Amino acid sequence: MIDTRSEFEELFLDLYLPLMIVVSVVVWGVVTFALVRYRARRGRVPSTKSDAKVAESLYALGLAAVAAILVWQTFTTEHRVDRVSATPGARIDVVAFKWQWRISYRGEGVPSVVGTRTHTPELVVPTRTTVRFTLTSRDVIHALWFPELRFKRDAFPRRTTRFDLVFDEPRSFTGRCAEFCGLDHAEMTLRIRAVPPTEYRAWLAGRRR
Amino acid sequence: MSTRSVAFPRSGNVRVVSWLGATDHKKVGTLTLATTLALFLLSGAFAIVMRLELALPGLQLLSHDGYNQLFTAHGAGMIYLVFTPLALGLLVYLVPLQVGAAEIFAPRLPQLGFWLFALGALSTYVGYFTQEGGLRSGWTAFVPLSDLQSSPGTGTDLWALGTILATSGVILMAFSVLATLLRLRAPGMTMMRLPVFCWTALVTCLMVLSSFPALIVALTLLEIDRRGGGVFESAGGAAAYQHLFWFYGHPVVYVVFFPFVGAVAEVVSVFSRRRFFGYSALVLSLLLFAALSMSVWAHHMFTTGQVVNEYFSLTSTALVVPAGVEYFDLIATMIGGAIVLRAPMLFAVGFVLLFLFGGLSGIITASPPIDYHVHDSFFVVAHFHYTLFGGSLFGFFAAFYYWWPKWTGTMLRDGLGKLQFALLFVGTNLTFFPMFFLGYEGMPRRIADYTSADGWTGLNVLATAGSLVLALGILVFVWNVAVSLRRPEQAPGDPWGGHTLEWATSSPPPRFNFVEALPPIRSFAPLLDLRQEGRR
Repeated sequence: MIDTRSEFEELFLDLYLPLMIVVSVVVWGVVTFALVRYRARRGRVPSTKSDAKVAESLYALGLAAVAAILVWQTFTTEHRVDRVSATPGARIDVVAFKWQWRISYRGEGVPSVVGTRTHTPELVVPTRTTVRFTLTSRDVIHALWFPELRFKRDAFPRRTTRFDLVFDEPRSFTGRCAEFCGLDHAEMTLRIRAVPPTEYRAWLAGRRR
Repeated sequence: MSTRSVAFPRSGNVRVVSWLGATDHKKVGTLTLATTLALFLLSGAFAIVMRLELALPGLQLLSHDGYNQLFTAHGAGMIYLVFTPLALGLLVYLVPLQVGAAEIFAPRLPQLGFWLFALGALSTYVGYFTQEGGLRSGWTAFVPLSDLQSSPGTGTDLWALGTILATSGVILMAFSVLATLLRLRAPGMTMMRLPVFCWTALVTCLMVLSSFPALIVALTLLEIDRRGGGVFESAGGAAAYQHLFWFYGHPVVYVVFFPFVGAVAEVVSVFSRRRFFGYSALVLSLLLFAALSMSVWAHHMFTTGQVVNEYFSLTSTALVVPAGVEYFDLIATMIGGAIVLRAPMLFAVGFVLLFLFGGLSGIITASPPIDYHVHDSFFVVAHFHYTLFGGSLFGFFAAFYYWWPKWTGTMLRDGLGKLQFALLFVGTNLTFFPMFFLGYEGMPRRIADYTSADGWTGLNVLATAGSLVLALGILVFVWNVAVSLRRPEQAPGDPWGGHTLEWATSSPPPRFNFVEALPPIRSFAPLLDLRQEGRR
């Protein structure tokens, strides 16, 4: 079971962000040092040295090594995040349209939830379960974004896309359309509520009645 | 051929005809710069209105539709009608001077290029006065959102045709600049003696010529589709448009960046009083950068689930190497120099410090699992504004303050320049840094409204306050130009101690650029050579 949120945090918060902070501090520090130390003043003669090919080559190799590490970590994370399970615990179909969502619980025999201009739909999902989403669009390109799960996927017309998500703990948050889709794009939100599996089954049963 | 020199027209006695019919690359370049700067002020004003709307939850100034037209006009204006022609206009003016040529190659091509661009801009803006309004589907105009069903009205057609015209004009300019670099260099100026700015010009033109036709194809197909051709109606049509678009759309962001890197490199070396450090490494890295730029386009499509993300992640992350080398060379030039902090140098240093955040966040977004979260959020808005505002625009102002004496024979006010720098430096960080957090916390781009429950109000207020500081900085710039034109202070022939040939002629240069014999060219910094030998 792959939790996209912790995968994201491992890659971003533990690798990319610290690296970028270190590089920023070093560059700002060195530039500030240069501006102070090498400011033009009486008697200061600028250097006539115009390259350092060995240092530059070693430095370029170092950069390539850093890039290689980043790419390696990115690939291993992405392979985990992109994998789709053969046996998902729940299957939910989402159809995006201007400017709302239609949510169906496949094989559960419950009516679909369709959002309207005045009614924000609710997407209920079980926690600690691999949830298979099948996503498409009825008109233009949309994108379903789960900010709390650090994941989004585009919804293309005439194409379906599949992805698996795991909601590690009960939580409620707002999902959004991330791909600009015209007039009411900003209003194209949905409520996402992750509940424990028993509660999820009870909720489905309640919807069947 | 006449060698009669034509004086730079002063305000008040501008000879309209001599400008409208000009084939002189300096006049064509000046026309392009002046037009793009006017459109920059317009597109920037749009951004201020957007920021005011976003400061607080709820809709205060605009409707959703009004906002959608506004952010589209801001983005499309800045990319197609401001930064691209601005970059090429700068090259059209300066490259012939830097290579010691009397003229640009095939002068009527950039002249035609300017007029195509001007007509394209006219067509785009006329679209906003049609019954249904102008383009409102974002500067990328993805299909099917831009098809006739979702975007009815001639405004979208006028935009597409206008953008085709403007882009064709830019291609003509790039052709002339490239041919000038290859065919019209002064005797002694080998390729490896081209000034740094000229090398950035060369790779810029290569990218324009190899990638811009893809945009013309994409928009032509869009027009055929809108006229009932059904080009993009197949299952893969929407993704196909994106591939075509981004094949242009990624190189273009380096096209609007590289000439300003070149300008910053010139300014950094001149104001550090020494030769640019690591010239051959820089040339190599520019060529590598340009080559890679043609193979990174689908990193804009990581969340489509329809591209091989690994490939585009690899090529995009590989840009760390040439970009890192460029940073190394810029900073190594300062270290060991004798740095003079006049206005051009301040903007160049600002470029180095601010573009950094744009570049580093670009490496972050090149990682698909991270991009899955930040794509189409304000994080990306912060990223590309640090590259375009912190990078390209600061680089442009470095260029503007550095070459203004060359263009006009007068000086800009250095004090006002420093004030403008301070306002823009603070304003950039105040406006764009909060956007990293907003995007991370889940605020999508291209929305006119959010609720107070979203918890984004504080950061949005901060960003809007920053944008007003930026507006103030730009007003100081306009004021500086106005004052310096009204009460001109004569500039010495070579006010900064330049390294390159444009400073070996009068300011503004005569019609055919050089009257006296050129100095010997034995390196990429011929005037510095003379100075070091005590002959200048």
